[in-house]
Amino acid sequence: MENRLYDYGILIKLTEDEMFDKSGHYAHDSIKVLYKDPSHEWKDPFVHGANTR
Amino acid sequence: MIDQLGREASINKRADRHLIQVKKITCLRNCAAYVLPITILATGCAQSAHLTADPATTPLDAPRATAARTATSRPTTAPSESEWTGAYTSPSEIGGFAGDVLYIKGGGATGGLDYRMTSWSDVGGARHKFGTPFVDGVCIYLPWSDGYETYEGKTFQRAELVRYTRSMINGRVVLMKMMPFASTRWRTDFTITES
Repeated sequence: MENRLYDYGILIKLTEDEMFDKSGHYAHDSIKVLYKDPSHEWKDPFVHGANTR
Repeated sequence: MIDQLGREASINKRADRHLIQVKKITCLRNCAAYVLPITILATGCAQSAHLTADPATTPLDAPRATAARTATSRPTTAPSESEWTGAYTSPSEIGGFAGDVLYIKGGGATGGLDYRMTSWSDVGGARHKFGTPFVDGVCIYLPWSDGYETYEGKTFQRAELVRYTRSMINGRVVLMKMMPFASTRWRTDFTITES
């Protein structure tokens, strides 16, 4: 379980300049902004367990 | 006849005593259902003295050491109130299944922080929670409760205390629920910045 991220329990703080999306709702950043290697494949952690970072 | 009435009165008294006992047990069980989880959660972030005390030598009605960590043992890098404020959202990847938007603002009703949280999932509609969080070092606790009455007249009460731990990953501030944080706190290739 070392160095893994479980998306369903993580909230990412929004920056002031990217607070809202185009429709005026709060933006949801990609979990990949927290990844060491953003290119690796994302799998639903509810099904496959926490993703490696 | 007198003997018969005496026996019935005795049976009624015993039944009353039994009913009172059952009510007491039910009441204690209901209280424990709410108080115990909250107590366990509230003390999860603190090294409290009374958790290590011997229950056999600590009477229930005796004054206990406070569950909160003393000021001297709190992390010196604990974020200030203004650093907690802002909007926090769940990752976009899980948006089709569930999501959360947490907004924390200062200057609340009690002069401290206020929070408002909207959550939704594919098994239910949106739920809104709000209240006054409390902070202990890098942990923030979001208390919430509600109650309702069914058409049958039964009442239900719910309460929860969610703990998030603040962390910094790739320069981004994140809040992690207890278990996700536990799964990443021992990572070796990057450092948690408690600020």
